[in-house]
Amino acid sequence: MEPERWQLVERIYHEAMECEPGQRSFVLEHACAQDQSLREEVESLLQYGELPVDFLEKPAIEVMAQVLAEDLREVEARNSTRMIGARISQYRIVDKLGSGGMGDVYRAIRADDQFEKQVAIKLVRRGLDTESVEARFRRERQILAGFDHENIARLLDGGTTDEGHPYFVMELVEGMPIDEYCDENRLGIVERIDLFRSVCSAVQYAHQRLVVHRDIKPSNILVTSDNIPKLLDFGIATILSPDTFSPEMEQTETALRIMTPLFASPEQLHGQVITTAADVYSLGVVLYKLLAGQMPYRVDGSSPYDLAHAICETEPDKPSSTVLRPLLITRIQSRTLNRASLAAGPNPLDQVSGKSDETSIQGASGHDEIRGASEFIGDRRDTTPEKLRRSLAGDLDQIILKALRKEPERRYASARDFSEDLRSYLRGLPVSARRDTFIYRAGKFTKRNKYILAATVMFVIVGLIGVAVIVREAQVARMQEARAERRFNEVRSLANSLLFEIHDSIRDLPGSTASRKLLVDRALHYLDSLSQESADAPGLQRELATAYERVGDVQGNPYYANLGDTAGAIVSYRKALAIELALADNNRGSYDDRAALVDTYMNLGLGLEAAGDFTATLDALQHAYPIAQDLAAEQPGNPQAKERLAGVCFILANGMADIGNIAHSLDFYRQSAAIRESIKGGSTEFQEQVQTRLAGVYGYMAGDLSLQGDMSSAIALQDKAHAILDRLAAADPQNARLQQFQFENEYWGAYYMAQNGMLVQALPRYRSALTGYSRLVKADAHDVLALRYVGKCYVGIGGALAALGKPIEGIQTTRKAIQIFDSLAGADHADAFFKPVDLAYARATVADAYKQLALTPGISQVSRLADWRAARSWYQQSMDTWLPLKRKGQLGLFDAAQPDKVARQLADCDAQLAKIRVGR
Amino acid sequence: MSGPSSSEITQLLLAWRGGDQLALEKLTAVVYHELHRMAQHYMARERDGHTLQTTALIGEVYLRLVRASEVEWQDRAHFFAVCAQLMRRILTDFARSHGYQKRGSGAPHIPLNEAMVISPEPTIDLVALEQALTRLGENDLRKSKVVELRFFGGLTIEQTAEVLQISPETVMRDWSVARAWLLRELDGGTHGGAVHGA
Repeated sequence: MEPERWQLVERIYHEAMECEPGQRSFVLEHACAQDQSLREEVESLLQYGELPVDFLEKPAIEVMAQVLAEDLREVEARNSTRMIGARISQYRIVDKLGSGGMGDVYRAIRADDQFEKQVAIKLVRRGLDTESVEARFRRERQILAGFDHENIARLLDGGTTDEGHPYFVMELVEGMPIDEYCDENRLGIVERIDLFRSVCSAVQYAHQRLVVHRDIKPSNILVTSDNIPKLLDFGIATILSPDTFSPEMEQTETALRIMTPLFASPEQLHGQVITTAADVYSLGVVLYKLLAGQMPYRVDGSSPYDLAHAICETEPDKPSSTVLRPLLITRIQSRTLNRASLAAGPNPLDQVSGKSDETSIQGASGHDEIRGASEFIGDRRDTTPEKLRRSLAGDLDQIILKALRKEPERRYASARDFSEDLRSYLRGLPVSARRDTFIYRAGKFTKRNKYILAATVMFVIVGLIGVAVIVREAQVARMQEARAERRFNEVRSLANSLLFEIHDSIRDLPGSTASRKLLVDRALHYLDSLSQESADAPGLQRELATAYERVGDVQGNPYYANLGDTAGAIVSYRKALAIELALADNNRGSYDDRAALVDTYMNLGLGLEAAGDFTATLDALQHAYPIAQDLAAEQPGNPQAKERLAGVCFILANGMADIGNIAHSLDFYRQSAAIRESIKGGSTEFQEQVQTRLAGVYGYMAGDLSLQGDMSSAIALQDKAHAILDRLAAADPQNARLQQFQFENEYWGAYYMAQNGMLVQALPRYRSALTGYSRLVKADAHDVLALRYVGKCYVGIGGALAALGKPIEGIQTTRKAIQIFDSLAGADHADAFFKPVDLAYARATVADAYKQLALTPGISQVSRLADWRAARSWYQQSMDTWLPLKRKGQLGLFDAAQPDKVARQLADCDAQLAKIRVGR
Repeated sequence: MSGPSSSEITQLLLAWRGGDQLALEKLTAVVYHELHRMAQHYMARERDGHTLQTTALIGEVYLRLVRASEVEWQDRAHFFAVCAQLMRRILTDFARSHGYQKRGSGAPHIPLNEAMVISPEPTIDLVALEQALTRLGENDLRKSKVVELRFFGGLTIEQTAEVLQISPETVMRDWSVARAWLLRELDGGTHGGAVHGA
């Protein structure tokens, strides 16, 4: 069509559209004149133009998405029916229980059918990066599978199907979502709160194990017919969702990412770090729903974006207020993830929206009943709207609102605290939520977005510090503990919103090294990401440094029962050090920052020493020394400052001894002892610490002196140390830590004696130490430190027995040690330091015993030959172990002399063997 | 995992504008990703029983594609125009490759005497539509641009007016005519394809 004609058509079209309907034919007549085809053209366009059809109103991408959705739905429906009868792992699917946001849930039984055990299998349908899902699952699985709580549905197994769909096998729970259950049974406020508190205890349990649920909502809380709520899907959201640490995360897209924005916390919607506080928030929304019958936010236009905006920016209505003015009632969907039975009664709440008080409700029978929504809500709670409002007003309002605060640090610190406040309410006691409102009314926390990240980050770190301390307290802790405790208490008072109840958690935490390793991995993972993001927040940096140190302690601080990962510990300490160096600003920083720096130097030094890098140890400590001196000088009345300096001297002394500078070593020991002898003040605990460490100094001094051959002084000091420890232990008999010091003291006392030929006296001390350490190992088979000492005791006893004329017994005993050292070497983080040196000594000891045997008078030639050969073989093995260490320069003074000793023994053996062959 | 960043996408858009086919592939991947996410959203929404509107979703896609404030485009008009073209291209390809042209067999065959029946969500054969749109463009470029911007680009009347530098009233008129014309085309051109002449 030529352009002019087209324009004509267009013009007439518009005229016709805009005129009165009755006028149209007239207009067309007029405009088209005699042109019939023109008129037909315009008329046909008008016909289509007037169709009341929403043609093209919806953007193309939405149309396509819907089409795609339909397709996918069909595929799933086909798949899910196909799934019945299929096998996944050792289970067979029996029927489908329901569908959820993530996938379908099926009932299954074990394929061998022997046990009638039914499980629920959740099959995730999303196309996900299965490799990373699997990796995450493996990491989480151990912790999740270890969950044992009445209110948590257990995760039994998981994996990916051949088609690449992740699946989770869970304990089968038959029940109703908690909100439906409560409405169904018309539970009153008190009963609902009771039920809710069980849920809180489940959440608390998981939080103590560093598992955040992330997707708490009523459909994930099923109540069984026994009135027991069970929390589903713990950990699954974490496994399935991508990491939230990418700084690229853009605000709006997260609204789409969250499947259930209704219960999500602001920080989840912002894509920020998820902590246990997010769960507290979601719990708050659930409680809101349970008590007030509605959701906390009014939303105009209910797109996910609007909802997200409401959650992040607007204040929730007070529960008591909404009772009389219900605005938005969300439909409760009958289908849930794990339901086996449908609701017994009608679900009358079927209408959404309505800005009025009246809501149309349809009963199952189809009758239309116009009832006030508030009446309905009240009825389901076995009360009237007015009474309900009065019950909620005041304390309950405040409790719920506290859980719903935008800033995570203003919420309840833990699910436990939440539950406790509810308990206070039930008992008519004052609730903490009301105090807070008063304090914060001043509006201190106005800066939201930027500092939300900071605040949530702090939680994670603070929580981790807590964990590390828990781990250490569950172990037998050693010398640095007072410092750690003090630091920890400082941090705790700073945050005042800790995620972990430390003291109670101790009992609950799993004791195995494997779980601790998992926690450490998790912790480092968090910390590394956080350290990128917190570069310009000094407060945060401090927490971060502390956290790295604590993690390092757990990894491989030789003074603690650790995971045996010295290399890892050094890395962590160095990270802490880097941060603290910046903060301490080369002795111009604050007192506390410099003190923290010294402490980290000390830990690093210990780690380096354990790794055999003595020059680095000394380097670190020599940096620390002047700073520690300054600190002590700046605060002369401060006992901690003195103790810190004493600690630096002590480690310096150790390092000096390691490189062979005994004289300087002794000087530093004396300095350390002198300081500690002079410390007054501080708590009883502190004093006990100082005394214990003083005993330690004496012990090590004794070691130096025995190297110099001054046995009487050495033994005298050893006895002094012994006396101190006895005194302390008598005053504090339950203290496991002290006992371990006593064992160590015993061992070294025995050792010095044995070195100087006092074997008879040494044996009972060795045995006493052995008993003690064996007990520790029995308590925790993975206590690397104690195990090592058990081995050393065996070596000591074995060597003494051999020298005292019982070589066979000696060999048997020493072999036990070798078994232990070998097993330690087999552990995944084989310490470069422990295994070889201990093994080398042990082998040489066995060799010595064979030598004793060979020298026994009156044995046959054959036996003598065999014994010398055995001796030689064992010396050689010992040598083989020593040589690489010597080459790497990792040997301390005393150890460095060993290879030559062994070499001489070897030569001796060779000579003897030669003599025998010649036939003498 | 989270795909290219805003600035990366900007680069890709510019590259595509300059004729880079590889850039188109990457952008296609991004849009497909969004498509799937939106589809997931529709599926989830049904299941959990939330009545959620979708009008805000399209805006989100653009925010996802490029954060407008960061974009160094000559002007927003240019940017929107390019995006709309991109969407047109990618979505049509998507429809074609997934066999969606069979779906919904063209425009709803609404018998004209039952014109009062409103089909709330008419299924559209996107491929046929796009072809019709091309034909429209051969005769009246501005109208096809209006449709491109509004339907593929998801822009409002005002935004479209801004991009094309015409008044909103003109946009509305164009929109009305174009829709009528396209509907007719998709309905099989029962009136003899008058536009094509003869």
